[in-house]
Amino acid sequence: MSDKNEIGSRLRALGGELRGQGSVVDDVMSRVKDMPVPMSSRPEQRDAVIWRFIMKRYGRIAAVAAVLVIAVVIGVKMIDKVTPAAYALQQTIAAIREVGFVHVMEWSAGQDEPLSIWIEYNENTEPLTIRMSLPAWKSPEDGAKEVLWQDNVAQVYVPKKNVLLTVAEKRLREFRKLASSLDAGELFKKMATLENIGQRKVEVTMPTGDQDKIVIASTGNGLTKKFYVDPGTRLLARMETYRVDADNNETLEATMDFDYVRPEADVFAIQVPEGTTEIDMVNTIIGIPQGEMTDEQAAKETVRQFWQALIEQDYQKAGAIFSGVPADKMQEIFGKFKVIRVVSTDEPIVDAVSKTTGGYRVKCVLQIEMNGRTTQQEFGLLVRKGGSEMLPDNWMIY
Amino acid sequence: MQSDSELVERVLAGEKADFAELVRRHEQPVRAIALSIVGNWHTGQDVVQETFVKAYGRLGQLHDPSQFSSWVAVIARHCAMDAAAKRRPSAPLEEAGNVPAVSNNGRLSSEKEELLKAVMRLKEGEREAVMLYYFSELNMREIAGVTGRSTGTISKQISRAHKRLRKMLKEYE
Repeated sequence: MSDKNEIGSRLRALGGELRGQGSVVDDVMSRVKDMPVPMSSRPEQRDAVIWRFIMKRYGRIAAVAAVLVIAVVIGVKMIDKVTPAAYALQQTIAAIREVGFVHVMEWSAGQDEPLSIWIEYNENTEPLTIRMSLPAWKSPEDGAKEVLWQDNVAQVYVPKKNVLLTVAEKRLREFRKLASSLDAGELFKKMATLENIGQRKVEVTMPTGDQDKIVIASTGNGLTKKFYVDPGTRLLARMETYRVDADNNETLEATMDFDYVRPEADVFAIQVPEGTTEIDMVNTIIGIPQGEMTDEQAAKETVRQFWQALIEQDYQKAGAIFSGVPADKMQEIFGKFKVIRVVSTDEPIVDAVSKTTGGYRVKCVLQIEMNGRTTQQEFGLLVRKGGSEMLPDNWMIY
Repeated sequence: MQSDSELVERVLAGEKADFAELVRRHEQPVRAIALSIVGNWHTGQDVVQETFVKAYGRLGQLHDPSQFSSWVAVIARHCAMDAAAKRRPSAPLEEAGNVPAVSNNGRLSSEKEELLKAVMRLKEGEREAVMLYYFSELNMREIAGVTGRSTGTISKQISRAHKRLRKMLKEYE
């Protein structure tokens, strides 16, 4: 047996022995035993727990709207048992129409900064404008974000990168559709179904001396949500989420405080400092069209055109391929070296990152000149289709 | 046999016990990733546990259940890197003066123990490639998918690892 084969055989034998030892199955299962059943973000699971579905798929803001509607509907239904259901629903919808604005602050256990959302509604209870302030802990990689959504376009300001993105954000567009179509009656029916089949247990406590709100507690799947409803306005004032362990001990995980006061006008505008890089993905042509090319060919062609643009020092074109980054910013980033030629380009591969985001990584070796020295360097670019929502068939580097 | 997708669906539908099968199927690749990064059996075991507990908690965020294996591999790498940063913030494994504790309760023969120690002394990329290939029995393409490196690179790393291991084992003799 050659040395090579011998090492291989010994490694295989060692692997076989290691595989037979130290299984963590029991330890893992004992740890997940008390954890709630995870809820899918996919639509087919939504009937199981409607508001968790909404929260995962359409984002926190949709959840707020859904919770608002559900909670008020439940509140009215449970509180006023003599009121016919149809009347109760009308009353609920009328209460939301009258509101016009909602401001929600979500506080999570262990975090100092809240997540803030303001929504302005029209007379049909459809969101007109949404403003979100996302604290850094919500997105440790990018840091805090300010988001303003209006007329199907979202502006996203990332202070850490000093970048303002203008996007026709699909999820927000879907959110608008969802929020417009939220049918309080249907939601209530689903909630009642969940209660009837034993997936939710709902208890209503009327105001007492210490507690001036109606408290609706909904328990199931290891979680308790407590809704505090103002008996006068029948609007949700507060929501608390508790994790419940096997001994029924509750740990507070998050609270949401609601108010319905018209906010200052500047809430619905994003102010950015001077020097902010503005990337407009709505009005700029980003990427290159796929045409008749296969995905792999398109990925390679995108990379080829990108490097060619840099060889020609056409930063405008390079930026258009590079997610729409403006020419001056491209020059700032890529002007530090001169691309002389592309020495080689590998076939596109799917790696751990591109698998998550879609598309490929394409590695190239370039001959570059920097500080008077000519060298060869390897670069790996991530390329995907559909990064630009306005041109979903275009391929771009991101 | 049920596919990973079916198992994921069943867990999401409330069949928690089916998660055990997912752990059973994927714990070896996850262990290889963990060990190759933390270089210590006991810490590696903790990382494997932590990985699956995190995966369970986030299972609802897995958009394509057929991708469970690569998804859990990414979680494992993050968990292992966190654990490695906590254990030894600065000393790279191959430069550390002492050989990491790799023995799993002393059950290995001395020859295998030496081989495992030698594997742990490999450079991180080579170590990861060797462990995924020989210990987790992934093929080159699967390793490329997990590590983000090309199959050519993986092949070279395994080849280099062979040479290094031969040299190290001769030194031990």
